[in-house]
Amino acid sequence: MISQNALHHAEKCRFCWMCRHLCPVQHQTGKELNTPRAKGLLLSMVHKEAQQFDKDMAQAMYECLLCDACTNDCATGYQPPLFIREARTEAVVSELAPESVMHLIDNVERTGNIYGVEKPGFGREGTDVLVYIGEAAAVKAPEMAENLLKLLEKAGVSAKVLEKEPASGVMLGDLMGYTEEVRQMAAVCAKALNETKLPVVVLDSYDAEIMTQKYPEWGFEIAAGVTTATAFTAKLLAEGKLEAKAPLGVTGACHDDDRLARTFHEFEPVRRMAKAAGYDLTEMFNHGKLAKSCGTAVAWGYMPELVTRIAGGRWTDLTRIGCDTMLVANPETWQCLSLCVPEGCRLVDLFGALL
Amino acid sequence: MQEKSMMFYMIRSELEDAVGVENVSTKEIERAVYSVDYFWLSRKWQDAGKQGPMPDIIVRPGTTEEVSKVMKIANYYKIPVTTWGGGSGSQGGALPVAGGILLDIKRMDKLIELNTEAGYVTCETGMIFATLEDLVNEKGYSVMHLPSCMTCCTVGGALAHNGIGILSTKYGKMDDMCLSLEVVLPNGDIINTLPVPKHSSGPNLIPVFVGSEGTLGIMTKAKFKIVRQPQTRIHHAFLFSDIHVGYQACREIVQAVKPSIVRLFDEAETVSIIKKIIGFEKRGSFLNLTLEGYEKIVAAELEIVMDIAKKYGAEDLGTEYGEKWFQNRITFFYPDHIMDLPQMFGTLDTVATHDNIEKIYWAMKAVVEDNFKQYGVRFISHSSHWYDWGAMNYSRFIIDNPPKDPEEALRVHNQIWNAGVRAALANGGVLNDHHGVGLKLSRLVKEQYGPALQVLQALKKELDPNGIMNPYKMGL
Amino acid sequence: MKRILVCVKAVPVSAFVEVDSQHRLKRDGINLQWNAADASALEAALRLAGEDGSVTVLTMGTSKLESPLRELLARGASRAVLITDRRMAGADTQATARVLAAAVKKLGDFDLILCGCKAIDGETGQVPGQLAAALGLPCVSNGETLEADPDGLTITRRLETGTQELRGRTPTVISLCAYSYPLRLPGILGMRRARNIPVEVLNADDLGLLPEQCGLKGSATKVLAMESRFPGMRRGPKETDLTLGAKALGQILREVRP
Repeated sequence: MISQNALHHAEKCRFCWMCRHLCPVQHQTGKELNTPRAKGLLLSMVHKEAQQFDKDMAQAMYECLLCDACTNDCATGYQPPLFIREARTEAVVSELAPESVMHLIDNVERTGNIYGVEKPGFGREGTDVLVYIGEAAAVKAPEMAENLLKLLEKAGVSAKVLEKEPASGVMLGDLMGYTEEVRQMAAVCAKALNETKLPVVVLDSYDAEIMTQKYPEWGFEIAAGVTTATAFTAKLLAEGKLEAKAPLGVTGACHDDDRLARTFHEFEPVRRMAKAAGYDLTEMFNHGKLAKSCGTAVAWGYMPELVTRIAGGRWTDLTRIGCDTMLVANPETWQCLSLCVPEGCRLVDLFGALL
Repeated sequence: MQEKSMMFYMIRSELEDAVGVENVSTKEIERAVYSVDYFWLSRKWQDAGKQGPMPDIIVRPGTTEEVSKVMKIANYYKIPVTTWGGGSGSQGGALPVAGGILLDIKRMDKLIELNTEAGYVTCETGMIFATLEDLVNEKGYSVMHLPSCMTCCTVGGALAHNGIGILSTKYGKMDDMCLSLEVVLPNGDIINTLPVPKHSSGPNLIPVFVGSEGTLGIMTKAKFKIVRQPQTRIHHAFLFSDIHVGYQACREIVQAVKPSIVRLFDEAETVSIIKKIIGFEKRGSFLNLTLEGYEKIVAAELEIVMDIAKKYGAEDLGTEYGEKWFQNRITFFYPDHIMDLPQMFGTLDTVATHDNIEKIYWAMKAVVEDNFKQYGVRFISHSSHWYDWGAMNYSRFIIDNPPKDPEEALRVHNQIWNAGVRAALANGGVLNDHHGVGLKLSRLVKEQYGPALQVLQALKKELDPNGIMNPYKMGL
Repeated sequence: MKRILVCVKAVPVSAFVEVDSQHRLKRDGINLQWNAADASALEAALRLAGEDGSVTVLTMGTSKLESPLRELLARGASRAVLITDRRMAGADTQATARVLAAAVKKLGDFDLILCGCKAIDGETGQVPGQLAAALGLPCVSNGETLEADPDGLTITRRLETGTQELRGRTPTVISLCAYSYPLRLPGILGMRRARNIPVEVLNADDLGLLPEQCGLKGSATKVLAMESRFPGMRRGPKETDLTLGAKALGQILREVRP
C-alpha cells in the first residue's frame, strides 16, 4: 500500500474540504468522489481495512489531473497529489489500473511516450543551449517546438536538440507514480542531457518540473542548469535580443499551466512574452498560483472526453470576462485547449506570436 | 458487493432513465464517501475503522426537472432521500442514516442571472458558494456571505441550515440574503416562492424551506441580493479586562452603529487560539471589529466605536491584529490548526437577547466544566454574530484524550451536548445559532419547541406524507 | 559480499515534535520517515550485495513500522526485521545497541553491518560504535563511499578537514553519511515481491533480554532536562517576492541562531 508519509497526508486530508472549490475535475463531474478529501478518506478506509482497494478505487485515483491546485491552497501544506500518485502505483502493482491507463503505460515503456509512436526528431547542432522538446510537444504540438527553435535562431542563440531525445520520465511518473522504473528512465535522460554540458532550455514545464524537482532528489542533477523556455524567452526579450512587436489592438488572457504556476511560480515571463507579441492583457479568474487547470497530455490520453470538458471550462472562464483570445506557451495546454476552441475564439501560441 | 433484489435493479434503471446512466452509482467506494461528513461522530466512526451510514444508490441530477423526476420515483416507492451538497455540515445533517437515495446536487451549478443593476444573482443550488462569490466578485459585487466553509459548501447547503457568514452583523444571514427560491416538493411538484421576500401578501414561504435541512423539499434555485464591494473595510482590535465588560461594550456598539464583524473572545480562547494563529500574547477578552462601506460613514462609525470602547476601559490594539485575523480567517480551519481526532470537540453555538446571552455563557461554561472534569474538558467561547437585539455565543468544548472506544465516546459526546444545550434552553437560548440541528441535535428539538412543534409536524405531514425526506433529522 | 545487515531508524519528518514528561519523543500520530543516513547505508548495501547477496534491514520501534519496513523490501531488501516491545521504550544509545546486537546475533552471520552515521532526531552518532563493541567487531564511522573486492573493503571516510581512505576486512560495522548513496525507489516488481515477504517481528523475550537490559531501565544515561531553542511555532510572513522573502528569511535566521 501507500507509504507512511503519503498515508499521513491522506489522513490529514480525509476530514478537510477546504480546497474542493479549486478542483477542476470536481467542477466538471460534480462527484463527491472527485475531491481530495474523498480520495484521502478512501485510502484511510483501506488502511483501516474498512474498504478494499479495488478496480473502482483505482479508477477514482485516475480521475485527477495532478494539477496541484489543492496543495497550493492548503494553509498547512498537505499534498493530495502525493497520496493520489502513490495510490496509482498501488493500482499498477495490484494490476487494478484501468485498461486505458495500462495501455498508455505500455506505450511509454515501448516508445517513451503515451502516444505509442516514435518521437519525431528535431535534431540540430548548436553550441549555446540544449533545447529539450519533450514528448507532448514533439508529437502533439510540433509547430510550437519549431516556433521556439526559430525564435531562438532569430535571437542569435545557437540551439542544440538531441537527435534521439530520451523521455524525461514525467509521463510515466504521472501514470504510475514515482517508482524505480521512472527513476531509471530519468537516469537515462539526465545522462544524455549532462553529456552535452550545455544549459537546458525545456519547452514543456512538465518536463522541467521533474528535472528540477525530482532529478536532484534521485541523485542526478542537471549540472549546467535547467530553464523553462518561457523564462528563457523572456530573458532574451529583456536583453533586447528579441524585438517587441507593434500593438495588435487585441486583448488576450494568459493561461498559466499547472506546473509553471505551481511548481515554478512563474507568471511574469509568459505575460512579458504576450505583451511583446503585441497583445493587451486581461486576466481570467483563478489565474496565477491558483489557475484552473485545462487538462494535461497524460490525462487526455486516458480520459479524453473529460479533459475536453475541463478545457471547455477554461474557455468559459475566458469568454465570461468578455475576452476571445487565449494565450499559451505550453504544448500540453495548447493540445488540451485546441480540443474545443469555441466559435469566434482564438488560441495563440506565444512562441509563434513572437516570430 | 451485497446481493440486491430484482426490484432494486428495476428502481435503479428507472432512476437512470431519469438522470442518465452515468449519473447514478451504486459503487461501494462512492457510497462509502458519503458516510463521513464534517460531524465529529462520523469522523470518529471512520477513524475507529467502522463503516458509517451509506446510501444504497447515488443520484446526481443536472436540472430541476430531473430532481422532480427522482422525487416522483422516490415518493412512489417510499425510498428515503437525503440531499447532499458539500457534506461540510457539522451536525450530520447530510448523512444518509436511513439509506435509500443520496441526491448529490453538485452537477446543478449553473449561474442563471447576474443583475448588477437590480442587485441580485440567481443560481442553481449545487454551486460551491465560493464559486458564486467569485462570479459576483468578477463584476465588483459580493453576496457578503463569507462563512469559513465557503470553499467547501454548496449554496443549497448554506440555505438548508440557514447558515451565516463572518460579515453577518452588517449583512445578515442566509434568510436575510435570500430573495426567492425554487423548490421541488417531495411529491415532485416544482414550486416558487413569491418574487420578493417582504410583503403583506400572506405568509412568506422562504422561511419554510430555509433552515428546513432537506426535510420538507429540495431547494433547486435561489436568488440572492448582491451589494457593491465596500469602498473601505477597516479592522480594529481591542482588549477588555474580561468578557463581562466585553459583552456590555459590544451591545452598546451594535446598538449604535453597524459593524460587519464583531468578534469578542473569552479569555480561554484569547490565550489559546488567538495566540496561536495571530500571535497575540495578553490575557483578557480580545475583540476584533470591522467597519465597512463609504469612507466618510466608516470614519464617523469608528469615532463612535472608539468612544464606547474607551468608556469600557478597552485597550486599543490598533489595526494590525484585526487585519491579521481577517487574513487568517480561514487558516483556523485547515488540518493542524483546527481541532481534529483524537480530540473530541463540538460547537455549542446558540443565540439569545442581550440580557440572556452572558447568562448562557456562564451557565454553559459551568455545566460543561463542572460535569465533565474527569475527561479534562476545556471550554472556549467567542461571540461573533451580533444583532441590535442580541448576540450569539460560539462556545466550544474540547477533550484532548476522550474515550478511545467509539461507542463510549458517543455516549460522553451526547451527554455533553445534552447538558450544554439544556443550559442554553433554560436561559432563553435556542438549540443552535447557525450550524443547524441535523442528526446531532435532532433528539432535542421537541424540548426546544414544546407544543409549538406541531406546527412543523403539520407541515411535514402534509408536504412529505411518506416521511421520505432526510429521515431522523431535525426531530421530524 | 554475501550477507549484509543494515540498521535503520524511523525519525520525525517535521522539526516540530513534542516530548513527554520523561523527555521521550512522542512518536504517536506524527509523520515518520527513514533516517537519511540509514537510507544511504541501505543503498550502499544493495549495491554491494548485487544479485546473489542478501540484505537484511533491522529496526527497533513501534508496531506501526511494519508497513514502512515493507517499503524497504520493495526497494530491494531481502528480509526485514522489526524489534518491537513496550519495555524497550526510552532506550538510550547503549540500551539500543545492546538490543540490536542481540538481534544481529540471533539473525545469523553477517559479513557486513551498515548503519547511518547518526539519526536526525537524537543526533548522537553513538549507536554504530556501541553496536560494534557489543559484537566485538571493528567499526568505521562517517563513510562516504564503500567498495568491496575479494581481499576486503575500501572505505572513504569524511573528516572535518578532508577525506581519509581506509582498507578493512570483514566482518565489520560501518556507518555511512547521509546522501552518500541516494536510495533507489520501490519498483513495481519489487512491490509485488515485497507483498509475499513477511516482516519478522521480535520482542525482548525472543532476544533473551531481561527487562532491566532494555528501555529506560536498561539505559546508562538519563535525560534530566530539555530546552527548546524554538519558543513556539513561528509563522513568518508569506512572501511572493523573492527579495523580500530572502530578507525575511535572513531575519528569522538571525533570530534563531544569534
